[in-house]
Amino acid sequence: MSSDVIARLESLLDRVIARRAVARLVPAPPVAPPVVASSPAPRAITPEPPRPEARVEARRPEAAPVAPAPVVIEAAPEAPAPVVIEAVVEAPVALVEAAPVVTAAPVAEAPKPVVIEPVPEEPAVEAPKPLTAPVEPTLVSRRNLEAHSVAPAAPPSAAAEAPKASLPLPGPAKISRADDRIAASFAAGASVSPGLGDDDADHVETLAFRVGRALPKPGQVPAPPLPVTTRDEPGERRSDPGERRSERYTASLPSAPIAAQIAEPAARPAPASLRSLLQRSLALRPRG
Amino acid sequence: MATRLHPLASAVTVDLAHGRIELKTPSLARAVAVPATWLARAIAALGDGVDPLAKSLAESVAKDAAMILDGTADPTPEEVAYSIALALGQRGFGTCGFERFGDALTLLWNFPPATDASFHRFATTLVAKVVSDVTGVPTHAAVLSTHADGLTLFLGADAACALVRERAARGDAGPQILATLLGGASA
Repeated sequence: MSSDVIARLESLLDRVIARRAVARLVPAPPVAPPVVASSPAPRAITPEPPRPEARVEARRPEAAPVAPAPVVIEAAPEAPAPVVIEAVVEAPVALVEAAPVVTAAPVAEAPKPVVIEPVPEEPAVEAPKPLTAPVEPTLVSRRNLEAHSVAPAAPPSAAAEAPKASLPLPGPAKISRADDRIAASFAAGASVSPGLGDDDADHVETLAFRVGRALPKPGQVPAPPLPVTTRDEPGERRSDPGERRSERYTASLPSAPIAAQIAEPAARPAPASLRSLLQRSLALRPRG
Repeated sequence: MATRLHPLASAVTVDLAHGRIELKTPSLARAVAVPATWLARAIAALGDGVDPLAKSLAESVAKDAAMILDGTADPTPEEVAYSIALALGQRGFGTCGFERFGDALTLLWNFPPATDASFHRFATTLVAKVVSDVTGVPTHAAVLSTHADGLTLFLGADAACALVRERAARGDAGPQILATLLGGASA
């Protein structure tokens, strides 16, 4: 192989290497944009709503500077944070119970548990902002569609109206249904303590419906009736007209000696104890 | 009287899954349900040996009744009737109450296990023992009349009870027997 041929081959190799290097340096062709445009949109539109715990964690730094830190550490180092979290997770009733624990420490205003109550209902307001193009409703979560349709800045496009047609808003209807059920429970006699909120009232009436009747009030259990039929007036009927024995007994008391005895005890004071009655009965002796 | 401490509603617990009947009484922890007709047959078959059985049951009933009376010094007829009726009812023996006709005191035993003549001896022995133990006054009893769902027993002296038994065996009605007794007392 001659040196000329070798030189040509080398030049060809250099060209090939140079072309490949140029091809690497050239930016990506414009085929990617649709992929790029479709992929970030759901990421921006459908953020998962933060859990209550996360919100509490996120808001805690805001409240932290208000609270005097050294006093918190000295009084109750671990107490405020877990108490507030438990109250938010479980029920608003626990908030009321947890309040004294928080106020007992000087950090009373720091947690502000009342602010945390509407956490699950708050829509992610920041989510619709990146929306620049109409998005298919199937790619958008229900919560964000609701927020998007409620938001005043949202464009009145088909994407904004679609949720109203296909996904009806559960908010007002659900509230009205809950109101109807609570009203029905009140009509049925269920009582709700005044310290409970709407959610608790709904819970109480649900229990009442589960039971099938109004919740019993304390002290309504009737006492067993006294099976006592002692009488002082033998001529009269007993208090219960359904007693066949008393009817039969009183209807067949025609004898004169008994009538005389009836008249006599009426004038005397009635004996108070069974023992005295028994002694009088023991004094009876058969005639002859 | 501590009647509210002995509610009749919670006195008996029937556990069908285990075939057990639990009594919430201090004297008995468990009961066995026996048809009343079987019990009546067993009592009738005992013959003269029915007295120990009746007295044994009477002691148990009187003990519960005394506990229900809770140390009341001189209880009224209503209180005694309630205590005995509750103690009887916890055993499935019905209820009872007192009536007075002149000086004659009677006990109405409602819904006893049986009302036929073979049950009368057991009934009189039981009632006399219970009333005697609760009141502290020795008493005898005799069946004055019988109805479809109960017995009327006269409470008095032995001689008066013998007369009641004799007249009742002859078929005399209860009021006539009482009239005889009361006429004799007034004479």
